[in-house]
Amino acid sequence: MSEDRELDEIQAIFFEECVEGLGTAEAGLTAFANGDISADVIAGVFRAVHSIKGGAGAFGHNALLTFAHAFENVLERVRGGEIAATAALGQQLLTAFDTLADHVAAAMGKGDIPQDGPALAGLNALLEGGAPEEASSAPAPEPEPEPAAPTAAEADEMGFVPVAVALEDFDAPAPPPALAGDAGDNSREGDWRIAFAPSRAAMANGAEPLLVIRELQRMGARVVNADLTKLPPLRELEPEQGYIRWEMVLDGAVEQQELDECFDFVAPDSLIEYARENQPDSGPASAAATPAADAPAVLAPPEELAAPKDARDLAPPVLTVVPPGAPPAPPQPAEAKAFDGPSQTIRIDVTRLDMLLNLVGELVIRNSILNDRLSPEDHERVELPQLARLTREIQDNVMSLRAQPIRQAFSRVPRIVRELCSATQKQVNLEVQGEGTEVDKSVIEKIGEPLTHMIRNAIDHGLESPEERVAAGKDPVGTVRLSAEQKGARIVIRVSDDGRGIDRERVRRKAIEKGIVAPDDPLSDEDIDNLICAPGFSTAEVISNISGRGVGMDVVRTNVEALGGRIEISSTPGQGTSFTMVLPLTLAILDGMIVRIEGQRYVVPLAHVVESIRPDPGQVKALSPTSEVIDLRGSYVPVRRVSDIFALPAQERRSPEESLVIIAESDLAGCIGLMVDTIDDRRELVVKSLDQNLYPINGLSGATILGDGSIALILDIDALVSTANSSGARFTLKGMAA
Amino acid sequence: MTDLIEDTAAAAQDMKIVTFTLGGHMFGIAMTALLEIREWEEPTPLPGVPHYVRGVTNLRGNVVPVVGLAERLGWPPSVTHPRSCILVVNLDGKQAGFLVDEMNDIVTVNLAEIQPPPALDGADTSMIAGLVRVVDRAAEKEETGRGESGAMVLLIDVPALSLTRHLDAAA
Repeated sequence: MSEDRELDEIQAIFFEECVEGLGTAEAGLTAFANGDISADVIAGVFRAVHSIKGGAGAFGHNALLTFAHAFENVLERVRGGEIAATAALGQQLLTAFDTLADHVAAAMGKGDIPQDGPALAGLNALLEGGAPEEASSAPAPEPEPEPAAPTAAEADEMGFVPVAVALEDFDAPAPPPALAGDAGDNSREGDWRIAFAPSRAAMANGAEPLLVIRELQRMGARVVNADLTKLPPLRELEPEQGYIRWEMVLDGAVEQQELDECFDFVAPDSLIEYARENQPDSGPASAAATPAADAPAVLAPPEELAAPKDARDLAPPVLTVVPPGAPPAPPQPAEAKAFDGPSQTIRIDVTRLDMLLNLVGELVIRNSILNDRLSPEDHERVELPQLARLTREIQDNVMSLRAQPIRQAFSRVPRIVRELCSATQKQVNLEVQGEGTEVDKSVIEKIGEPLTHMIRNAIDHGLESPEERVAAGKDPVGTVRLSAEQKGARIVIRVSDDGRGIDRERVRRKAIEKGIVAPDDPLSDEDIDNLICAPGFSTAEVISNISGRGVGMDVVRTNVEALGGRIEISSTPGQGTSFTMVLPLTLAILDGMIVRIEGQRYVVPLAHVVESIRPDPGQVKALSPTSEVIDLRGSYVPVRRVSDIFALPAQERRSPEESLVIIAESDLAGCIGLMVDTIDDRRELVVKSLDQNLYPINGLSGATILGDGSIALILDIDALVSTANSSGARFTLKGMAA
Repeated sequence: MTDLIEDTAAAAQDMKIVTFTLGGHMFGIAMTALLEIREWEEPTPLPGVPHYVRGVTNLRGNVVPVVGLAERLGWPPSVTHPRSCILVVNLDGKQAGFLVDEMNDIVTVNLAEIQPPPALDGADTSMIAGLVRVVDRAAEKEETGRGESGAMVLLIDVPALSLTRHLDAAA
């Protein structure tokens, strides 16, 4: 039972690594396809695919294993310079990569095992020396791979399902049919004799000899002898010591490099020896790739504990390959790091981080309570500022633990674009900016789905077909721009296209048809654009399987609002549409200005504050009994009294001269003046959401606990500005979504 | 303590309720739902919420809404006084405080004795889980005359109190 659970945990880690590996590989391949054909890039992709393959074999995901193996072989040849690295090849590999990603998803139980026949055939065609140009047409027409293609056949026909294997099972496995078939071609090669005795260090590092043996067995190795002479009686047996020495025989058709890979993850002080029986003329295949190719490889002497330095020197030959004609070798340390025992990162359950974050939040609050209670003399002491600084540093560090580059969320976009391009016959050039912007992990996790919808929407609805574009005098290749940037305490993610723009007349007609708005509703252009996000709205004339089921954009809006963000749409007919998600950078900490209104304290997020003004007589002018503007160096900015917005019972209306006006700026909707009684303080605050125990309230982005333990409400400037600047239309829409 | 020693079969039939008064009426709430009882403290008012949500208060670092229970049940609002207190209740994982006039007692009632509220025309009894007669120990000492008959307690249906978001349009 517990072993099962342990295995599940290990497998979960493997899946996490797979996802990361896919990200790396895709980024690399994309660079490759765009012409960045450096050894670094190829090596990075190779490593990622290689570790996916390794894990797949260990956990018995055979379909994934087969495919990753073929993929890896191609990459290997590319790395070795045997296959010319061209952008066209990059494109083809990207297509194959999508199949690989599907395989990973299938292994994770998130989908069916994909039909990889055509993609495999394409890879094998590459292996057989097919030029990328020829092969690039492969995905559709090529037939199922013939058994003659060595790599595919070897893994395909094995159908090996790893199960817990008892040692006895190692005796006499049937020679795999594929190898039997291949034997004729490689009769010149002598069989391999392999000796393998994992060291104590290897066992301590978590190397699992069983996995290595399985991998060898998968290639057709037979264990001819297991030397148990060193095995002590059970009482003296140390589970972490390696006692057994295995001797195996493997068909000579297997290249040395494949053997090298089997032992990649075994600590180098283990005994690993392999040599060909009846050494023939140096094998043509094995000579090509690795420097140590023709010599029988003795990776490390037995019974010698390798110092860390040695470990690097003795790293498997696969690491030191320099592709002929390729740019200079990548720096050694970076290479070595990938395989060098314990990695530099640890995985932490996010809930633990959250707990830490909450505790730090409490610490910050206590710290400010303490500050409030201490006498001025105490404030003079050096310890207090030090404590405050330490607290702040802890807070910053904890926050940064959760910050992740938004690349993680963006990484799936290129694939969506590729798939949509082929499904819609449109040509799209994707431009991505600001993918290094760091955002809180919780935000990254939740923007994936909205982002997908926005991209689909841009390509399916936004962009025209190439013919239409040419007719409109545009480049037949449409452009979709995806960008992320930080603006104050917010992150702005924008998806824009240069397509036809929103057909407002059609949107309006459709909305009336669906009863979303009344025919006589006065709607501004902006209101109409926002109708796209109304529930159940879809303008696609024909429901396609990409978008058009009318669930897209309102899902986007619901998700974004659940994160405390907003979505904004702007469109210029004939020139394109842009969807902007404005999200909080973090959900936890805020720099705020504490203001007092009618005896209550509120927080204005400092990121929005432009300036505060004590109005001169006459500077604030009433436009109507309930609306005022302030003359701000010649421009008029609407002024709102917070007591009016929230309909607070006001004692008496203060004259503007007795109040302060805080000019606050919203990223999207311009400026507003907030009339407040006084400004109390400015400090860092821990944001507590109102929906934890209640529900979100319009106009408030949360609450915070002040030094004296009382609560101040945090004003949502964006919401206040948009209520101030437009009619109630947007709020009515919001009501429909709720 | 003696409760623990009681016959388990009988104990399974019993339920502890906390009784309190609200506008002169006696109410009860299942003790299992109750997290704590706090002194009344004026909460921070919230904009745009139903009239019975009096605001939010700080409960050991959590922002917890405070509801006037009298208003919530449709009675005239409570007037707060020194013995007013807040019952902090767990509502389906969320916490909420309810203002009541005065805490009374903790009593054990038998589940079989709880009667469902009779259906009355036009009366919203959706937040009342049942009626039960309890012997009010405090009252017993003062006016022994009432003795056995006890007082009728309106049992609050805790889940029905949960605060759900109202449509913006409705607000």
